[in-house]
Amino acid sequence: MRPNSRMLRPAAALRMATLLIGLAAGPALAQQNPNDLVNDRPSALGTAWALTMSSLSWVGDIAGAAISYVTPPSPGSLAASSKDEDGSELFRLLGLAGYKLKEIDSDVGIIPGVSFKFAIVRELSEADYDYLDEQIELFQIRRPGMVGELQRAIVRTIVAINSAGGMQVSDLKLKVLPLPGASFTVTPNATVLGEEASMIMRAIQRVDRRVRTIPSAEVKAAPATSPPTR
Amino acid sequence: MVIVGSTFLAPYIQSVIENLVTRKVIAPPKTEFAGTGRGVSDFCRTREPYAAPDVVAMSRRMRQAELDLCRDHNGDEVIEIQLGLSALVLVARRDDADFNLSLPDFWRAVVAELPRDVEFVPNRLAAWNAVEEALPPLPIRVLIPAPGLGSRGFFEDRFLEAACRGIFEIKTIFVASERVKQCITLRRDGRIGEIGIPFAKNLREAMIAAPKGTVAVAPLNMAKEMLDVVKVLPFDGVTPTQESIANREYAFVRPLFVYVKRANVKNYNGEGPVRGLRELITELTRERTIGPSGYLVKEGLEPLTTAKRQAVRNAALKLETVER
Repeated sequence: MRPNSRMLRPAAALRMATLLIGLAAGPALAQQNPNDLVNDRPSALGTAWALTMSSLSWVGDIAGAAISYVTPPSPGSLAASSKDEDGSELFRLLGLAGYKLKEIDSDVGIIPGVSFKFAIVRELSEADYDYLDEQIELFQIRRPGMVGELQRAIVRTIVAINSAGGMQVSDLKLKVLPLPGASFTVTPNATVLGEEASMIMRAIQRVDRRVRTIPSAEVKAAPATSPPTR
Repeated sequence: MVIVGSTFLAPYIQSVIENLVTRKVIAPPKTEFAGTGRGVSDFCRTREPYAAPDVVAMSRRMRQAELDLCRDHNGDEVIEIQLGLSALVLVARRDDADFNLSLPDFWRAVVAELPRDVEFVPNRLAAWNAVEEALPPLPIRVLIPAPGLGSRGFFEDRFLEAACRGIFEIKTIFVASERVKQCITLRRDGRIGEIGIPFAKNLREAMIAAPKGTVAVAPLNMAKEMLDVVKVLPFDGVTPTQESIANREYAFVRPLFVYVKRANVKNYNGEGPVRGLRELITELTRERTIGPSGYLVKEGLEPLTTAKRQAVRNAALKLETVER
C-alpha cells in the first residue's frame, strides 16, 4: 500500500524543521545523535568555516613574517638585544677600549640593513691596555666559539691600531645586516680642528685665561648674586 | 745569556739564577732589570743572538701589539712562561677595628681631589666613616709603597686606575695622561705615608708606631711575615688567600711572566746559539721553584693552580711558542 501524499507532507515538514533546528543547534545536537547524518551536516559546515578562517590566519601570518623579514628590527629592540650575554660582552670590551655607542642605523627594504656606530671617547692608559688584555683573555675562556673570536678580533684590531701610535680608530661601524662586518675609520692622533670646533676651542681658552687672571681673593670677596625680584 | 725586564721580578729571577749558578748548571748570565716596558722593547728589537736579550721578565702579559712586533722581528719564536701571581693587600694593626673597604671607598680616602658636580674639589675627608658610614670612626691614615718600588706601580695601576674606571667625572677625561694624573694624584695633607726600602722592615716599624685607623698597602707575602703586628683586611668583599688569588676571585693581582726566544735555545743535539736557556726554562717551571712550597713562593710569589702550573710546565718543556 502506497502512503497517501497528504500523509507525507507533515513528515517532510518535520524533516525540514529538524534540519533547520540542526543548523541552529549545531554540533550539540550532532553529538547527541552521532549517527544521524542530517544532524552531522551543521558540524561539517562549522569545521569548514573553522578551516577557512585558520587558513586565512595562516596566510596572514606568512604575509606578516615576510614583511618583518624585509623590515629590520627597530633600533629600540636592537639596543635591547645588545644587552644579551654576547652583545653586552662586546659592548663592555669596546667600553673598556674607550668606545661608546653613538648611533644605530636601520635600513628598511628588500635587503634590510642594521649597523652600530661607535666613537672613541677616551684614550687608554698603559694600565687600561693591560686590564683590557686580561678581560679579552677571560672572555676567550668564557666564550671560546667563533662568534666570540670575531668579537675579540674587532677589539684587538682597535687596540693594535691605537697602541701602535700616530693613528687611532676614531669611529667603528659594526654591521649586523645584511652581512656582518666591521669597518674602522682610522685618523691621525693629532688632527686639525674644523672651523667650528676651532672657534669653540679658542673661546674656551679665552675664558680659561680670564678665570686664571682673577685673583682668588677677589673671587672670595665677590658678593653672592641675589635671586631676581619681581 | 742576557736577561732583562721588570724590577719587580728581579729578586725572583736572581734567586733562580743563583740556584742554577751555585749548582754549576749555567754560567752567570748578564742581567739588566730596568722595567717591563724597556725590557720588552729590547727583547723584541732583533732576533740576532748576542745583539738583543734572550729572556725578558715581565710584570704583566705581553700585549698583542708587542707580541706582533716580536714576531715580526723573531719569527714565531717566543716561549711564554707564567711564573705565578703577585698580590697587593690591605693590612691594619692587629688590635684595630675590622675594616671592609671597597675599592671606590679606598680611592676616595686617598686621592687629592674628589669629583663633585662635574668638578674636582680638594679631598677633606678626615675619618673613615666620612667616606662610608659603615667604616669605623677613626682618622684616615694610609701607608703605601714609595715611588720607584715595583709595588707602587702595581698600586697605581691596579688600585687607583681600577677605581677610576667606575667614576664618571674621570672616565670622561679624554686624554689618558690627564685622566691618569687626576686619578692617581694622592692627597698631601699628611694622611698618606710612603714606605721605602727595606720595605718589610720599614713597614713593620711604621705599623707598630701607627695610630689606630692606619691602613697599609703591602705585598701579601710581606703581610704574612708580620701577622704578629698586622691583620690582612678583606678588600672589595674578598679576603685575599692563596685560593682566592689563584682563581682570580681576589682582583688585586697581577700575573708574572718570563718570555724566552725559542730560536736561541739549544736543542738536545746541542744546536742553538745560547747556552743555559733550556736549563733556565726547566728550573723556572719546576714544582720546587713555583709550586706551593717552592722557593719563589717563599719569597712572595703567589702560585698558580696545580692544573695551570702543569699546563705551563708542559708547554715550556716542549718549547711551545705563544699562540695568540
